[in-house]
Amino acid sequence: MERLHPHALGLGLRTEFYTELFASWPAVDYFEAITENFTGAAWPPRENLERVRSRYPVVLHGVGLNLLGADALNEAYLEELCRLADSVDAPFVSDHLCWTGSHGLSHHDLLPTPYSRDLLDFAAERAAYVQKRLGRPFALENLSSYVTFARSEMTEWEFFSSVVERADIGMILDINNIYVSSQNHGFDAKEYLAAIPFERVLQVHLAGHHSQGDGRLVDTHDGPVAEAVWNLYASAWKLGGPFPTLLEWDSKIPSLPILLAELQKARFYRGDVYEIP
Amino acid sequence: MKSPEWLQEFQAQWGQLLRTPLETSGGVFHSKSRSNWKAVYAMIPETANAGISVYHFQYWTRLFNVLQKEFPLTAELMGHWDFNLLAQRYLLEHPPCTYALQDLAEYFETFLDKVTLPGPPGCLRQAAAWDRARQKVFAAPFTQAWNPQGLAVDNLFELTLKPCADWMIISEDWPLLDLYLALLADRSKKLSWPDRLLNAQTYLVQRVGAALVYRPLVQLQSRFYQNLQKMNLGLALIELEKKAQGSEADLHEYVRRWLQEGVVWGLWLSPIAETHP
Repeated sequence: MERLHPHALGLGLRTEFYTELFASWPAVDYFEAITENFTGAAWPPRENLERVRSRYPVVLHGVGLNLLGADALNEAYLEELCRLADSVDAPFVSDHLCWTGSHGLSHHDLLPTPYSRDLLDFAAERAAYVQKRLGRPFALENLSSYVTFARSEMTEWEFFSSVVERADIGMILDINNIYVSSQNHGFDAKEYLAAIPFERVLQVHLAGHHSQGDGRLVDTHDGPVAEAVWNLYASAWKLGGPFPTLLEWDSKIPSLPILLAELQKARFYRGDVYEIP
Repeated sequence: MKSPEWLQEFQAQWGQLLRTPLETSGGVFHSKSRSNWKAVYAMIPETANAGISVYHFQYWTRLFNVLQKEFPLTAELMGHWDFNLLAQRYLLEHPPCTYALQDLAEYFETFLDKVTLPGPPGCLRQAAAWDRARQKVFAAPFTQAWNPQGLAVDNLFELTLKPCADWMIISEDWPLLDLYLALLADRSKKLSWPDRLLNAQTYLVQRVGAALVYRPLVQLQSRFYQNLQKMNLGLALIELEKKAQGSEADLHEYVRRWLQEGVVWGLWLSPIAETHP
């Protein structure tokens, strides 16, 4: 199993730039594919993924595991996930510390739960099970959220760190999500970073967000990374770098050169170069 | 791995909240808190009303967008506002129950059969059938097509030809393919209800590489390919003779040509010769 270089810069794989990608095969260290886009029997997505994999390492990032859902884990989904991870020999597989459905229904959103002590073992046990099924590193990512819960007994970063430590798995640290939640809930994002066991961070995510009229920030992935998020990334790099860094851009996707230019800014914020490339 | 008891109830209440229809007053879809959300509010601080609305609004708009992408021609002909109103009714009857977003469209065509639709009677249902056919053909599993050297096969008329998964035959009474292609060329194009064709037109929709091609078929050719999905070549020919006008020799010549075209287009898997006792 190939490992990503700790300074690697990667891009979220999206069909919108396939034509440009296949025509130019640009210098990108790796791609991250959304798991659910490549499960099932459909042939063209798999064919395209194989083309990408023939040139670049591919890591997998899911949105459908439903780790914190009260329903049992979906074994058929896990089977598909294992098969896909094996087919691209993913250096790691990740999903989110959230729930996405219940009572047999799927909500297709990354939903938060209260951070309670009685949820820790449940989450950790399921995450450890997923990693064992995969037979390769598995990581969980922090959410952006728009509510907090009276029932919570600890901070998000305490809950997040405890789950990954107990499960002995990796972390995907989404810097934009930390920033968005810190603004929505009024906590100090640097306090969050200070509590992160960086030796477990397999990758950092960066993305754009949107400010609603009421001042609330929404994690939209539809624009460049905000200056404040870049600065938080620089703090994370100082605290716990190096780590592979990935840019997610899911909506209003610009041309590939613009995406790559945005990604290259990471080199400035972590101090590799003295000007924004 | 048993979940804490409160988690099921919490997720049931949240799911119910998400599935509450959006408000449509003022000509826009928006989220408005309801009295039956009190149970969820009991778990969050009172300031979270706006936060809950983000999730509620996101749930519906994400699903609307998926259905619009799965049924682009239908949505454009109806107009997005009316399409979304219809989609909301559909989703209340068929809430998503798998992790795969594309499964959302599974019952939409059947649902359309039960509702009153605008436009020329039958036109929108055909548009939906076109949309679904394109999606199904595009996402079909890859199969290796039969590629014989000529058609010098023993017992030709006893051959049963199993179709590859990546094509479908579809008929239209309105110029729906032309409308769709015009829409593809210019997404901002405003579509109006088309005039009915003088004669119905039939197409074979096929995936070639990663693209779709549309092959116009004459009526007998279409019937021949459809017969071949149910019976061996000899019986398909007999069925065709019952419907055809003109000489038997002419028909045999046509059938030979259609068979050759079908092989060139890659319509069938390697044939299975039937053995008769």
